[in-house]
Amino acid sequence: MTNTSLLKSRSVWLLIGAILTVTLPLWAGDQYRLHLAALIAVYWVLIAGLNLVVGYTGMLSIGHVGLLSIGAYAFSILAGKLGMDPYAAMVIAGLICGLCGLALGLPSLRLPGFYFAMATIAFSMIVNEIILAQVDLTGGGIGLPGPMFPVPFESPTGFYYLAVIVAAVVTYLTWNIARRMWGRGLIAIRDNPVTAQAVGVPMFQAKLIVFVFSGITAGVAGALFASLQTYITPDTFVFELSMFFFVCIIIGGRGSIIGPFIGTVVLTWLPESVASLAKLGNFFYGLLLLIVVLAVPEGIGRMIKMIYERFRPRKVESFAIRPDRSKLKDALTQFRPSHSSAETEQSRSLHAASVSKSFGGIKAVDDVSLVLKPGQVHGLIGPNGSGKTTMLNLLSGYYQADAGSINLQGQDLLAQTVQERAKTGIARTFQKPRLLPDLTVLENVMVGSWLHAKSGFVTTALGMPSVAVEEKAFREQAIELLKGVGLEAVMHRRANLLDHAQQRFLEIARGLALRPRFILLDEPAGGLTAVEIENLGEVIRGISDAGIGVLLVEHHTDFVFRVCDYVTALNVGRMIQSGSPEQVRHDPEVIRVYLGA
Amino acid sequence: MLTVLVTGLATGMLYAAVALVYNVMFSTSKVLSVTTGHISMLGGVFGAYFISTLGLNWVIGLVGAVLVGAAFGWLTDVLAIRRVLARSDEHLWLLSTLAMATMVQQAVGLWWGTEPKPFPRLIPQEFGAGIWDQKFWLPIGVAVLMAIGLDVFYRRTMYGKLFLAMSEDAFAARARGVSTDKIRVMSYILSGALGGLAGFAAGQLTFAYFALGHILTLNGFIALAVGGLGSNVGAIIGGAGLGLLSALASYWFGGEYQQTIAVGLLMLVLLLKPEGLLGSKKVRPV
Amino acid sequence: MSSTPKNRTEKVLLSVENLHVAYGKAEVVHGINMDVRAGEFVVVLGRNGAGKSTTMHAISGLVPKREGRVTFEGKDLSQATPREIVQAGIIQVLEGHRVFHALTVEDNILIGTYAKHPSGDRSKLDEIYALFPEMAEKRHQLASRLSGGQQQILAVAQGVIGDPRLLILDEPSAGLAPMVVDRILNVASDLCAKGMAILLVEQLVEKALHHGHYAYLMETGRIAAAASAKEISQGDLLHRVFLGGGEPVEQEGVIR
Repeated sequence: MTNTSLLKSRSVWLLIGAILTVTLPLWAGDQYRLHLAALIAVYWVLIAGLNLVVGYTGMLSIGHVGLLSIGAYAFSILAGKLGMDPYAAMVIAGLICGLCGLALGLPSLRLPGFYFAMATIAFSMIVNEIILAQVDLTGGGIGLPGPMFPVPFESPTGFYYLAVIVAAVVTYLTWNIARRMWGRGLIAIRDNPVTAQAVGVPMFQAKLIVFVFSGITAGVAGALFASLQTYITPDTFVFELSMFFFVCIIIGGRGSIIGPFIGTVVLTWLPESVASLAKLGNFFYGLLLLIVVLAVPEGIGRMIKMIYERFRPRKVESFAIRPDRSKLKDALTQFRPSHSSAETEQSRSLHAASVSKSFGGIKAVDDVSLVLKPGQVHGLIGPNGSGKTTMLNLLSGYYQADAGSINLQGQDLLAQTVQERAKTGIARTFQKPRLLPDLTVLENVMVGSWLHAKSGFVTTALGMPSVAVEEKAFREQAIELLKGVGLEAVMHRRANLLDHAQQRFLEIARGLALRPRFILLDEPAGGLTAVEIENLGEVIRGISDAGIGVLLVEHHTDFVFRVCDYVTALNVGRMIQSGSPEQVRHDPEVIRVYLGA
Repeated sequence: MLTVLVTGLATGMLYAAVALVYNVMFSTSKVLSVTTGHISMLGGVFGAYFISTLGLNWVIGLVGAVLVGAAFGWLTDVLAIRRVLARSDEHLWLLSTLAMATMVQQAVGLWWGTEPKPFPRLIPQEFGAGIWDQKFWLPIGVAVLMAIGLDVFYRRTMYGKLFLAMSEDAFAARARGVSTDKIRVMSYILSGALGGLAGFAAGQLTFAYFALGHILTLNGFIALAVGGLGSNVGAIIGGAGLGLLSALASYWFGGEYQQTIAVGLLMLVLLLKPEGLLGSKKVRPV
Repeated sequence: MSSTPKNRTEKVLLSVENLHVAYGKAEVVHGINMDVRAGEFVVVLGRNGAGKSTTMHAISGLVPKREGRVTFEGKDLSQATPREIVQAGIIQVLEGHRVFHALTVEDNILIGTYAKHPSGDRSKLDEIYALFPEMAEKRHQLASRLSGGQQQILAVAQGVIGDPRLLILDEPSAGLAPMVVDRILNVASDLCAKGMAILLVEQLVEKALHHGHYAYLMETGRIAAAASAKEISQGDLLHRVFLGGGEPVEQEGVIR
């Protein structure tokens, strides 16, 4: 199929690239070009790490030249002044920069976008100040010589190979992170933080880990850089260099490794070969950045892919979603957490008691109690302002209740964050589907399994076999879930190409990938046709067949009465009736509230 | 010592003026532009160009600097903001304004040169005037006038009230028939003019220097964040505080750690009161 | 096109034809037809999520239309900007008493004149204060000091001063005490008697039908029924549409 031929051609290109890289000293020509190639490799060591921060996690870090300089100076001081073994010095320089990344990240990563960017710029200016001031250590304005590596890496050709080896290792590490669950988690933080929270990604920790990693690679790059340049001064590390790293990634395209790599190659080589561009210097980078942001904000990598896709049009057959209730039930029961027979239905139910929540002076939810039982479809209805969505947000952790209690299996949920509640087994969907537009349908569902991924950052980066095993299990589960909701046919399509109904069903499948005990659906029927609503009903009944409890918050009262086992009606934050659908539908108070004055 | 304090206050008031410019742009577009500091840089550079290089009199130089600032503000909206705001990706404007800031800084560097050049005397005054030198009280005076002027603008003029309305609820403003696009462009032109004026007034203090842009963007931002986003009084307090603190720290500990101390102040305030001294929790910086 | 019932003989002021509105990928209004006649009080009813507010926003040009035409007094306003639509004579009071807290009551009201008079037109203030005396008392107070109900009245005053020929009220009752709701609906009825057409979106069905001449019932983005207010309040269609129990009627028509 088209997928495998694409893969084949990608491997071929990689092979060609590898051969060219390895044989470069033979065909490059002169020492100057070899030096340039080594410089590209060194820059790439830093940019590959920074790519995870900027391209994958979406953090606008513009101060990495500060980390580069710390690495360069640390290496020069350790290996030069103190005579340490250069390899050890390089490693220690990396670790020191990792620590600096930690020191920078801890206070800054919680800040909103612009503030964070400013903090990183300020960081690089502070590093510059300190380097200039600590004359005894750093030589101040005069600088330090950059030590050489021992044989066989001390010659220009030898050093080139050292740089290539380190670059290859770093590329391998980042590639592993990018293509596995970690990469998806980072992309979720970038594209839809609410989704990341909902599937249980610990946002601050993840950002910090990635940022520290980028610090380590910057430190290693700094060591290599110092050795390559043979002499470093504070003037070498100007803000413009930070801009350059940043622009390579943005131009190359986010969510890609090859894109920023090509960006690095082109942007390093271009000013060297086109003299007028070199004179313009930073103006050129700024112009390029502006053009990319205005015309192709997702980067030239994506633009190339789009052009590529235009020449190989895929038949976009419209198809009807056809869920399979029994398949869905099977998929869910296969992966559900098993419960011991000692647990009663009571203990496995979610109990919300006398929950209240006010905004300003207005009580949005006033003393509401409800019980979600496993395998039961519980509808929550009410006119505008009745508090039903607020209730859903309270149950899932997006709002903090002012009073009352929410318990599941003896755990007090009120003390739990959104991610912790996801871990306890509460999944949810949103009024407007929150998907990751750049990932495929299948990958979007796999993100839902985040909490079940046991592989940490380091294990994933190293490419340990356990990661591939886990990945395979998640993929299989996701496929089964997609078959169950009826989206199997589009599983390799990019999520932003789906129509509205398909996006809704995808979000439900993602929620189910969490292997939840309860799934809370926030107005899922919105914008669906009558046929699609029927299918939604099938999916909901399939979920409940598998023993998962469903909370259905809806305006579409007709649909609620048809598909639910139990219904609670709210008005102005208070509960006015709860019982079987027939009971609630004919309750005089409910009728009055919906139709009356 | 007094000279140190006055220098610090004057520099701080320049930062405060930049913070005011941030506020005006933010009010209608919810954007914090990286080009904010560069507007003032242009005011200083073009002021020196018109008066020293072209030999024009200082009033024309002033008007020229303000016009250049206004034009750059307009250009920022046209290139970096207008088309980007329409898209859903929240932080594209950070990249586009960063790109513009880089371009303008480099262009000025190429044309004007990378060395700071002296800014001409505007009012005849002896150079030995000490703390009463115009290079101090010009930026202080202009910043205070700007803050007062903006207050009058917001409270007394129709356009000022439209700015406030749009900043609070742009959708409701549109429903009232306010053309929000036009108001936004106006706010960028106004902020450009104000930034140019501030840069011109502080020219004798900072010299006409192409690299001033990033420094002012950063320090103006620190003044803004410390004082509180959205508060003009906060901007003045934040700027004055920052300027004084930097000057005192330089005096006592040597001038090598200026930036470090400035950022230290920012971090301290953000940790204790994340919305800034006079900021309101409702204003989200996104 | 719709078949008009016997008693709607006045000329058509606002005509909405085949309106489709989408938010991103989700189409929420599927080809509705609606009109308002001169001097008519038209009510739009329906559950939440039925697309009522979206329709109103589309008429005022505040959200883009995927398809459809909006004509007012013969002029095609389909591509007009919100400002042009206000200048043409359609003014909308948004849901949720959205007034500007940072401005005074008087300034808030004056903003309502901005579309036709860029520096504000004070000549109408006395009229408005006569209509809304509670606003006159508080004219120099900041809008943030007003209660929710007073803010809603301010929002209506803000709309009325613009001298509309069609005033759209989007759920003015939301979160308000019944007395305030009655006050607003009475003012609307008075204005209607003097010649202003009213288009009212409401969830308080009884009150709305009491004031209205004609009603549209919206259901999942379509018009489920259209008839005189009296006929709608007498049938059982309301129950079916709001609480289910059968397939909703999907074409516009007169109910028997």
